[in-house]
Amino acid sequence: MLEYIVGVMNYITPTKNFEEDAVMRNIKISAAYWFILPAMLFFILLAIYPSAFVLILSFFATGKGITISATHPSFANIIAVWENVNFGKFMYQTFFYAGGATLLHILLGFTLALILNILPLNPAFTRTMRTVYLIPWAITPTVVAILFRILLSPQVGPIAIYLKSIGAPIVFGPLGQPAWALLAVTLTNGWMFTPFYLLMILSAMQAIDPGIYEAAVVDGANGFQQIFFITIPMIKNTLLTLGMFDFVTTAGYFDLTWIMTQGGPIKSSEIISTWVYRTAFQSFEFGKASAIGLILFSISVIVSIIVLRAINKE
Amino acid sequence: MLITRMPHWLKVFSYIGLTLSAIIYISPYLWMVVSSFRPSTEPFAMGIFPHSWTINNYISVLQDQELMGSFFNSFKVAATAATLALVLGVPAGYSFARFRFRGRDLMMSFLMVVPTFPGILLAISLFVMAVRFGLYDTHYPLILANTLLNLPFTIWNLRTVFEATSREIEESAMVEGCSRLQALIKVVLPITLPGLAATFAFVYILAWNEYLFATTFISTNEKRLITTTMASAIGQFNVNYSKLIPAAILSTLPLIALFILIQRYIVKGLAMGSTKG
Repeated sequence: MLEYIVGVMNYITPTKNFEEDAVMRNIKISAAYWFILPAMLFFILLAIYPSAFVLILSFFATGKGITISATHPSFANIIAVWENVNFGKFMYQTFFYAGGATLLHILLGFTLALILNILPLNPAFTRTMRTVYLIPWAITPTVVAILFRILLSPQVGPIAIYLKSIGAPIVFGPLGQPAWALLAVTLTNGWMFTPFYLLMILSAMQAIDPGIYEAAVVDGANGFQQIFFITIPMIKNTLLTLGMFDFVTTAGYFDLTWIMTQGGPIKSSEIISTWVYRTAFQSFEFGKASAIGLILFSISVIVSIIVLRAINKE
Repeated sequence: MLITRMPHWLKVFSYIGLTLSAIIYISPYLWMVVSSFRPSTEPFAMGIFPHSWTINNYISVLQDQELMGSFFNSFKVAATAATLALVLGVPAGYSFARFRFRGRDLMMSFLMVVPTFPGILLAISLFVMAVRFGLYDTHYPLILANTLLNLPFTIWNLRTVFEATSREIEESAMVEGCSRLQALIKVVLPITLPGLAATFAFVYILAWNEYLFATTFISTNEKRLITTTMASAIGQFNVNYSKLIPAAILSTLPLIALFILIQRYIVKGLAMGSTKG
């Protein structure tokens, strides 16, 4: 954990030049802490303390409910999770979901950002396009899940109705089919969150100094060379950071999957977050749920460390 | 930037192509808007688009006690959470923007790490806290959870807002005899009002959109938020689409408009985390 924070810290905090005001420096220090204190207290009370409690639950709460039943810490919960017959399946599905969605977000976001960035179009038009593309991200996730449940429904969905009207021999209802449910949720996630990554990648591209491109043009670089030797290297760290953030948050993302499929049919779209929810709030095995959650958190930390190492190496 | 000159036909083609692809991209939502006007008597199988149009669906949503109650609950939770986030976030963001102090970098890194913490784990821990303090099935844990989730962004965004203002104005106010807090309230906040309002609006939108905590902390139907009410409606055996779809539009369209209005004030704060370094 400490290494994680230090790693993040090294990465995100460039040494800034502050205009130093020697006279006021002494007053600044005490005021600075007083101003931050309320927010930090809030974090400690509502994030750090409860998180420590989850850690305790995973080692001490062996039965159902939120009371601490054991007097000695035990690894019973973690072992039970590890030995669950579905453990490998759920892990694979989580990686498929998070990895697939991340890939979609970054690839599609990058492509769209590149198109919006390189074409010499009216800036007002480009801004409008950016805004229109952002709309899916601004829709309530619950409504996105409901919308795609309707769109992909075999009874009322327009796709199924169209296929029926042209006499297609298949029943279209991917959310009800074990082979397709996970992919359908992954694509929905892609549709909803790509706009956010488009926005982030575009703003990184726009931060590149135009002078670099001009110099490259003088040296005879063509469009593709400019993309591969200027644009991509310049935003590589942004892409890696975004990808990391994306993978970690998607692996723990709950809303879309839960409302669209509840992890079904026959657990074919169950991911770690829905598994934790089911274990905690439907089976009331809070100790076990905390143990699964800790595995999820460990994955986040490991992925973050790998990516941050890769960035720091340069 | 890369391409400086383009033949005229290609330019026209790009305008048309981009417009079309953007419309196709948001077409699922457009279909939902159109479908909200489908009369409740018309079966979906009759066609992809409604044959006749009606606003009766919207009227029946507005007359639905349960839905309107959920809308109001969502408003209450989101507005309170956004206010609380701003109350806590303004001094913190100001401090990060103006002071250099020991532990500053560590605290800002901490703010970056918080959003990667799995929400589902936070749900368990906050659920346990809520039950222990007897606050289960009330809106209080929900408000606190939403404040907590959005406080890191609030602080980051307000920091960029405050950094964009000149420190000379407040320093001259302090020379005039204001304390730093007074200078912040009387001088800095009025000139940063657009940024503050945008941050408030964004937190409001995110809190309105939140589902996981809303479904975890609330069990009584009357206390449910609009997200949980809609999610349970789609899970029913006989879904009343002529009520659900307009309700979904009513719950999203105003927020999308608000989001479009404020987006330029939040992009910088959002991008900060990813493009720094």
